[in-house]
Amino acid sequence: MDDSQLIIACKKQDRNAQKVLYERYAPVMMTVCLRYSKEEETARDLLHDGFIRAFTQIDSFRGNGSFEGWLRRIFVNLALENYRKEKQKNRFMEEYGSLKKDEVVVTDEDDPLDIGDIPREEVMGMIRDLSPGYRTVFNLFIFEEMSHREIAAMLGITEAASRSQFFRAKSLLQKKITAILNNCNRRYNEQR
Amino acid sequence: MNRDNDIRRAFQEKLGGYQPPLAADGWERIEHSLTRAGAHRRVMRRRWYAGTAAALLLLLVGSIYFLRDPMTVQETIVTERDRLQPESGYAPEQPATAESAVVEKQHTYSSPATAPTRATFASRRKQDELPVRRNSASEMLTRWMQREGIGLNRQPVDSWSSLRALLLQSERASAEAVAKREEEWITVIGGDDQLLAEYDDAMPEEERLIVGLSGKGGLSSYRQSVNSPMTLRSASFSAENQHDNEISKNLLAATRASDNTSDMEHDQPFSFGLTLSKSISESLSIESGLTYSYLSSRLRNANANFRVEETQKIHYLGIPVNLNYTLFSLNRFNVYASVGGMLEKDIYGEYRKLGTGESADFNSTAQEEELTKISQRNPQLSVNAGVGLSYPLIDNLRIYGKVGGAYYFDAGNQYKTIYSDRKIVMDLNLGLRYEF
Repeated sequence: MDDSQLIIACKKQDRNAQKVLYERYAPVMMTVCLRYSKEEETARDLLHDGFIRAFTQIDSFRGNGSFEGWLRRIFVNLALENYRKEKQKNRFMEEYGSLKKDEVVVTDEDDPLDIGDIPREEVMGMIRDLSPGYRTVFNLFIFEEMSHREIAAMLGITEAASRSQFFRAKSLLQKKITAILNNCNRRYNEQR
Repeated sequence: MNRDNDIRRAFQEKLGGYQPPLAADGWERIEHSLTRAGAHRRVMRRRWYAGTAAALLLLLVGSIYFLRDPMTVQETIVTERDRLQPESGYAPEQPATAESAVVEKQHTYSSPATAPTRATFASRRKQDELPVRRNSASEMLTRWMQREGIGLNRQPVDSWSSLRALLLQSERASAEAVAKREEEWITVIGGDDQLLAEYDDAMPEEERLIVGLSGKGGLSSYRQSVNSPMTLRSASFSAENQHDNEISKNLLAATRASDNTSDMEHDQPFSFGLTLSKSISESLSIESGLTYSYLSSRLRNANANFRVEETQKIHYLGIPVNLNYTLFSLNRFNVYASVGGMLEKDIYGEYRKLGTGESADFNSTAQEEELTKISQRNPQLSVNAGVGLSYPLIDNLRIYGKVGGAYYFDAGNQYKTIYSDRKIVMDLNLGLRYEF
């Protein structure tokens, strides 16, 4: 059964069709949720809430674009809403967290983020360890393929602020990648 | 830029096939939530249907009574009068036919205290002034005889005393019910020598004064969802003027973002009031009074990162003027139509705006809350019409229900309400009326 047939059935609140659709897209959407959440439990809640929202608002899907894109948008919006709520709770806390101004790592512009040898789980963990602001911009830029102009418009910030956030996120990741690679090299040398 | 694209490609390739573990009970939780949400929606839908059904039932009952042939009742009245007619020429010496026997029993079966009264009453009044008594003793007797197998075409009862005994027995069994019904139909005025029974509805209509206490609820709310920014303030207030500081400008910019969704909802209005009616003819009365109304509205502008919520509560006092026309009365129901108008003015209003979003540097949250007392500039004029049904509860107290609708004219006010956006509001009106 293809997506369009499933969607028609889902619009009639067919539980079996909903289940098939869930099983088909849950892994991809869980990846999205994990990328935007530090805690796995939060990601699971996002996955749950996202599918509830998708199934209750599926009538608004007109079939103009891909269903996966529509679904992904729901999860991204939900993740951003969640981020805003969390930030509201911790509004008096220092947002910069792991990156103080004097700790800004100035990376070499020609130095690429070499993640080829790093396991997926590690890469995912590095992204999730970013502070919420950096993580949000990084995800929107890298995975949603939005330009800084679009991110700025979406988040209500300036384009320069978006670039700055992304640059800092990239710097932090570079630092972590370097640390991981150095650690691997040291272990490798110790084993030799 | 090329480096950024490389980074994109690297991360997308790395995490492209990533299959994170899913919670084992993921689908069960979703299914449970969907079922619960569906049940909640069903409950809300049922409540709505029940309300609508009640209103339709009210209309249906009115329609059924309207379509019934009123001549059926008149026939009963004529029959009653014919049956009472021989009373004026009552002569014990006349041959006792079955019909006359029935008439004579009317005098005989009644208690000694009331029998002369009725006889006097019947004999002193002209035929066309005879009271309408559908549950009179003669009819009861006829029914009782039919039930007991004593047909009207049978021979007259041999013994007056035996018939009297039977009638008294029947009378005792239903004494309370008869007394109750008699009270409803007859008002006795005067002394022992001159008793005058009046049909209670024979009181001149012009003298009636009715005090009413009513509650009214709108039968529908108003909801609007669009993908562009909205505000509860009308177009006469420009959006820019409402956002005059840095945070508010960001909020405004956010509401203009492409993914902005706006939901506005006006709740069903509800009102209650006190009215005074005066009959100006047999079927027509004019009604006026004081009515309080409460209107509430909500609006939410949201996109991925910003949210502006507005709530508005306005309290009105109004002066209604209505003409009520009784279409017909059947049994104890009165079915009436009503047309009129109302002039309302707000007495208190409250407007609250809560904006939440990111500041320009993205790393801090901005929140703005505004609470303003508001006032509408112009009074609100409306016209209304409806069909209602009233029923007597006790004595002169009647309960009534009316289904109708009102059209609200554009008052050109600053704040949007269900009056300004929906224009026509259907409503259900329930209340009590006391007739003096």
